[in-house]
Amino acid sequence: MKILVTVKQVAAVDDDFEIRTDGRDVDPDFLIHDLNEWDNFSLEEAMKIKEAAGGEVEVVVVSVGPESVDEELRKCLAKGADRAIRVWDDSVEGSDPIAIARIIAAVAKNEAPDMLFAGVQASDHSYAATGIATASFLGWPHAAVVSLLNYTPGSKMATLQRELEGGTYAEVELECPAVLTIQLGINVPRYASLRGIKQAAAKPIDVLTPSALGLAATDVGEAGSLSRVRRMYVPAKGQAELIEGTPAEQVARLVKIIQEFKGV
Amino acid sequence: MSGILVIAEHRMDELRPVSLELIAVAVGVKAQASGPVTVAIIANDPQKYAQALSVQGVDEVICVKSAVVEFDPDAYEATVAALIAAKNPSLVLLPHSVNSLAYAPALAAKTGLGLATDAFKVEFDAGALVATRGGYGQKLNVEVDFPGKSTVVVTFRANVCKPIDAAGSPTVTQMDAPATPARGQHKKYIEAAGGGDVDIPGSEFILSIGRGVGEEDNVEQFRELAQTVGAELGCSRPIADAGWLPKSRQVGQSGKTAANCKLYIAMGISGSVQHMAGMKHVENIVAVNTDPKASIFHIARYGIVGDIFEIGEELRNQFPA
Amino acid sequence: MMTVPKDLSDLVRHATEKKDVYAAAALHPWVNTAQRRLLEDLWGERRQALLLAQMEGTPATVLEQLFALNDASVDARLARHGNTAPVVLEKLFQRSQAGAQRQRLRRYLVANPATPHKVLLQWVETEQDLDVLKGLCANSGAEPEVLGLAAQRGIAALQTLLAVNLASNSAVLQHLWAGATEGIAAQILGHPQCPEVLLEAIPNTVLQRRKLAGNVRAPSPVLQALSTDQHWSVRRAAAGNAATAVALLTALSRDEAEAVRRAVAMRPDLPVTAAAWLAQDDDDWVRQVVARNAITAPEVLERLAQDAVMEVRRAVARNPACPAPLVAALAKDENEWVRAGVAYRADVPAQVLYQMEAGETSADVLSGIAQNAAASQHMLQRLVQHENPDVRRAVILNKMAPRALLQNILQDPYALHRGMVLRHPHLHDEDRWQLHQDPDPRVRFAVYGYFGRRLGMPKTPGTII
Repeated sequence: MKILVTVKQVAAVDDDFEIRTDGRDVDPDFLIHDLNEWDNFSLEEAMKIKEAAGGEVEVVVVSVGPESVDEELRKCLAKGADRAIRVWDDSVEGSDPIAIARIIAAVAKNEAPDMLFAGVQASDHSYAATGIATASFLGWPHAAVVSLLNYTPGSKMATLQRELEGGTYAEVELECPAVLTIQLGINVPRYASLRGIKQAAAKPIDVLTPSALGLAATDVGEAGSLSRVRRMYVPAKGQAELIEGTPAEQVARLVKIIQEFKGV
Repeated sequence: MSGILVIAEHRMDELRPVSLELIAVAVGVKAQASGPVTVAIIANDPQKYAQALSVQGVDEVICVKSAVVEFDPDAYEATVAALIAAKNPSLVLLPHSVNSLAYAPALAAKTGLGLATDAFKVEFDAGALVATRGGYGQKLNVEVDFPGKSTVVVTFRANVCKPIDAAGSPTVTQMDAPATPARGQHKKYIEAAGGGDVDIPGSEFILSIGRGVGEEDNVEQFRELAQTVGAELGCSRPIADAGWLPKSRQVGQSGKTAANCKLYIAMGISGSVQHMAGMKHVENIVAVNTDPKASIFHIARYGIVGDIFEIGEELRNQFPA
Repeated sequence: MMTVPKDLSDLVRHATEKKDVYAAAALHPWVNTAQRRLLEDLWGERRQALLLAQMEGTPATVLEQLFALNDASVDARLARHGNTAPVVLEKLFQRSQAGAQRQRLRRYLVANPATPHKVLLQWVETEQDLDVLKGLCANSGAEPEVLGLAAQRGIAALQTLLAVNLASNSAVLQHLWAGATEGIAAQILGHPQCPEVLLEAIPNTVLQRRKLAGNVRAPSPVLQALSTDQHWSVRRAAAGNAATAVALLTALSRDEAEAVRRAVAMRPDLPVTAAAWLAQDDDDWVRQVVARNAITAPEVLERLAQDAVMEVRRAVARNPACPAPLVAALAKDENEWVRAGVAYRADVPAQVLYQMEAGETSADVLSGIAQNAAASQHMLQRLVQHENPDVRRAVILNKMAPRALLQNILQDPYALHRGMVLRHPHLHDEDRWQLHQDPDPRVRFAVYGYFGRRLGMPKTPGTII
C-alpha cells in the first residue's frame, strides 16, 4: 500500500524586490522559500491514513526542483513520510505546471501508488493545475478541492467532499486509485518532532532526472509546457490599495468592500 | 482557428453569475479574435438556461444535453473537447471555479492546448493570445503567452468583468454530449452548517483582532462589531492565550485555518508568521493597524493605517442596519 | 551534556562553526570589532543581507553594517526597519540625495518615526514628491514644527493626514481649521490637541458633533447638550466620554438606543442604581457589559450569573469584583467558556481549580488552569503533556511553573513553544543552551541573543530576554 504526495517549494517576495534582467521573473536573491501551505494538509491526510491502517501504508513524497527543495522534503520526512523523491536537471527549467505534472506522472507510473494527493494549489503562483493534469497523464479518476476524505487503504472506492463556492459542498464517490487535490483545513497538520527532524536527516531522498524516468527532452521545460511566462511586472496601481482619508472616509470605503463581498 | 468558446456554469438549477461575466470578457476581445462568440451550457436540461445566456454580442448558444445531471469532471472534459473539435476556437473561456479546476488542466494536458488558470485579463497581441494572472501571492502581474498553440484554454477569475445587461439574439443550437464511462458519482450537495458554533474554517467573512485591542474589556466591542457586520470573529494567538477569546476563534498555526474565507479584516494584528499561516491565502485581506510597518500590510489587499478603536467605532456607526 | 559557553568568544566560535547567520546576527551587538568581522562573513551573500534587513528584531549594529554594503534594495529595507538607528537613517537621507531609488528611499525615511527631526526639517519645505510629503504628514514621530511647516504648504492632500496625526499640536490644527472640509473639521474636533476655542460651539453636522462628544477636553455644558443630541451616535460618543458628568449617566442609561446604553454600561463611574437598571435591559450586550463592570453590586451580579445568555454569565465570571461564592458557582457552569472565564481568574482558590480540572476536556478551561499561578504541580504535570498545543503553551505562560516541567517543553514539536519557554525565569542556562542548534532559526536567534546579552552585560545577571 502506498500513497504518493506531491509537494512544492514555494517562493514568496517581501516588498522591495527586484525583477530579473530578462523581465520574466523576480531576482532569486529576493525569494524566500518554504513548503507550500497546502502540502502540509495533503501530507497530513496521507499520514492519517497510514496511521489508521497501522503502518501498512508507505507514504512517499515527490517534488520537482533543484537541490534547495531537499529542505522541504526533509520537513515532510520529519513529519513521518517514509521516502522522498526529487526530480531535476537543467532541462526542467522553464516548465509550466503541465510539464511538471508529466514528470510527476512518470514518477507515479514507477511507484504505482494506490492514491496520489496534491495540494489544491501552491501559494506562490496559484495555478491549481498540476494535480489534475497529473491525473490526466495517468488516466486516473480525479477530484479537485477535497475538504473531507473517507478512504480505507486498498478499497476500490473513496467517498469525499469537494468544497464548492459559497459554503456548499458536494459529496462524491470516486474509483481508486485516484488523484485528489487537497484543500486547506481538511485536517490539523502536525509539527515535526525534534526526534523526527533528526531522523529525517538520515532518510533517503532519491534524486532522479527526467531522462531516467523515460521522458524526452521535449516533454519537459518550455518544450513540454502549454504556456510560457512572457513578462512579470509590478502593476502600476499595486494590487494593494492603501485606503486614505479621515477615519470616516476610510470606513466608507471599507463598508463598500464589505457590501461588494456580500453582493449587495 | 478563430472565435471564442465560453463554457457557462450552473449549479442546483441556477446559472452561476460568473457565466455572464465570462461572456462579457469574450465579447470584449471578440474583434481581436476575429470570429464568433459561442456559449455552451452543459446540462441535463440545458434549454432552460438558453435565454439568460442570450446577451448582446453572443453569436451562438449551444445547449449540450448531457446524461450526467450533476457535475462530473470526465463528462465535462469529454464534452468540452468535443465542442473544441467542432468549433476550433482560438480561445476557450472557463470560469476559474472549483468545477473548472477539476477538469480544465486535464483537458489541456490531454489535448495539448494552451492553458492559463486564474487569469484576470486576456488580449490578443499581434494575433497571439496573452493572458495576465497574478504571481507570488498576487504581488506581481504575470503575462503568459502560448507559443505554437492555436487554441488556448483560460480559466478566468470571477468578479473582474461586469456582465452585459442588453439582450441579444444568438442562434440557439442543440448538441448531445459524448457518453463517458462513470468513474465517479455525485451523491448530494451539503450546505455548510450554520448555527451558533464557531466555524473559522467554514466562514467566508472573518473579522479578526490581535494584540492591538490592548485589554480584555475592549474585546466586547469587537465581538459586537463582528456581529453588526455579519462576520465571524477571529483572533490571533496572544488573544486566545490570554483567555480573552476561545481557542476555536484562533487563526493560524496551532489554531484554525481560514480555509473558506473570502474577506478577512485584520484589526490590530501585526502579522506574525504563526498568524499569517492561517489566513495569508485569503484573496481579500483588509489590514487595520496603527503601525504602517506591520507585516500584515505586506499581504493585505487593502490597508488602513489607523486606530482600530476609531475605525471600529466608525464602522459601527456607518454600517447599514 | 552540552556545556554552556563561558564567554563571548566561545559563543562566536559556536555560531561561526555552524555558519549560523541567525546566531551571528543575534550575537553581533555584544561582541568586539574583531569578533564582529567573523560574524559578518556569515552574511556575505546578498540574499542573506536582504533577509536580515527585512527580518523583525535584527539588531541595530547589524543594520548599520548592512548600510555599508551600499545596496539600494538593502537600503530601502533599512529605511523601514524599526531598529535602524537614527544616525543611520540620517546617512540614508544623505544617500537619498542621488541615485535611481531616491524617491522610494525618501518615502520610507519620512514615514519612519525614528528619522531625526533635523532630517525631516530639511525636507518639508522643498520636497516635491507628494507621496514623500504624505508619509511625512502621517509620521507620528514628527515634531509639531515639521507638521506645521507641512500645513503651511497648503497642499489639500496633506490636510487630512495632518488632522489625523496625533503629533499635530493646537497651532497646526488651528491652521488647518481655516478652509477645512467637513470631515477634516470633524477630525480636528475629536483631536486631543484641538484648540480650546473650537470646542465651545455645537457644530451642525452629526459627524462633527460625534467627534466633539468623544473629546475628553470638551467643556461640560457642551457635553451636556450633546448627551441629549437627536442622533444616537452623538449620544453614544458622549456616553463613552470619561469627561461626561456622572449626573448625566442616569438619563443616558435609559436612552432609547441600545448603542447608547451599551456605551454607558461600560463606565467605571456608573451610578450603582443605573447599573441595576441596565442589568435588566432586554439587550443582552447591555447586560454583558454591565455584568463585567466592577461597580455592579454583588446581588445584581448574582442575578446576572443566572442569565440565560452564556456571554452574560461569562462576563460575570470575568468581573474583577465577582464575589468568591459566585466564582465557585460559575466554576461549575454548564458552558465551557463560562468555566474558562473562571479558570483564568487570578483569585480563584486552588481547591476550586482542582475540582475544575477533574474530568474537564475543554482546551479553553484547561488552558486557563494551566496558566493559573494557583494550579498545583500535579495538575501542571498532567497539562504539560496534553496533546493540545494550546494547553501546553499555557503551562509556559504560568509564572509558577517549575523547571522540571518546563524542561519538557524544550522537546516540544512546536517551535513557537521552544522559543517562548526560553524566556521563563525558572529555566536554567544549561536548559536554554540545549536549544542552540534548534532547527528553527527564530529559536536560535533568541538563544544566541539571550546568551550574548548574558555574557556581554555581566553586571546585570538574571536578566530575562
